[in-house]
Amino acid sequence: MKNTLKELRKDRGWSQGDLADQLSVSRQSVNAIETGRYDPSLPLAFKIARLFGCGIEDVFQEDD
Amino acid sequence: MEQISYKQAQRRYIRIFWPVMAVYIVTCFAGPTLIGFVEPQPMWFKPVIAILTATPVAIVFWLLLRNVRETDEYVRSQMVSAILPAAAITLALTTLWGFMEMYGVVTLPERVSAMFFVSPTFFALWSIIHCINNARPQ
Repeated sequence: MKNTLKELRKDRGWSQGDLADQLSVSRQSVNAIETGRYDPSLPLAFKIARLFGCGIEDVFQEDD
Repeated sequence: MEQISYKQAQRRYIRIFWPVMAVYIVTCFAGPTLIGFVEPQPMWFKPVIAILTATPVAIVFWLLLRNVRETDEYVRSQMVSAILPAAAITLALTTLWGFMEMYGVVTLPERVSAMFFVSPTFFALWSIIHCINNARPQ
C-alpha cells in the first residue's frame, strides 16, 4: 500500500522518533511504514489516522 | 490486555536481562570452583550447581518470549521471521550432529558437551537470518 505518512509527519515538524513515541511504536516501525516495507495492522492504521485527524483513506491508499 | 509501548517493552526486557546475565557469568565461574573446593559433596550438590547455572539462560528465553509478545507489531514480525527459521535450522543441525555422534563420525573432547552449542548456534543463526531478511528487497 502507498501512504502519505512521511508528508503528514513533516508537515508537523516531527521526526520519525517523535511520531514513534506518539504512536507507542518503535522508530523502525515508522520508517518501515513510510518506506512501504510494512503495512500496519488495522488498529495501528486507525491510530495513525486519528493522530493526524484525518480518515484512514487519507493516509493509506491501495497500490495501483 | 492493553499493549504497552515499544519503549516500555524494551525497558522491561533490559531491566532483567543484564542482571540475569551477570548472575549467569558468576555461576559459570563459581560452579566449577565450588565443585573443586567442596569435599565431601552430597549427592544433590552437582545437580543443584547445574540447575543454578542453567536457570539464568532459561530466564533469558522466557524474557525473549515476553519481549516478542510485548514489543510492537513490526518488530514482532521481524523477530518471528528470523526466530522461526533459526530454530528450525538449529534443530536440524543438532539432530544431524546427534546421529553423527551416534555413528562415531564426530567426537568432542572429554567433558565438552554438544548441548552447550545449541543456544549459541540458535542465537548466531537468528542474528544472521535477521541481517539477511533486512538486506532483502521487500
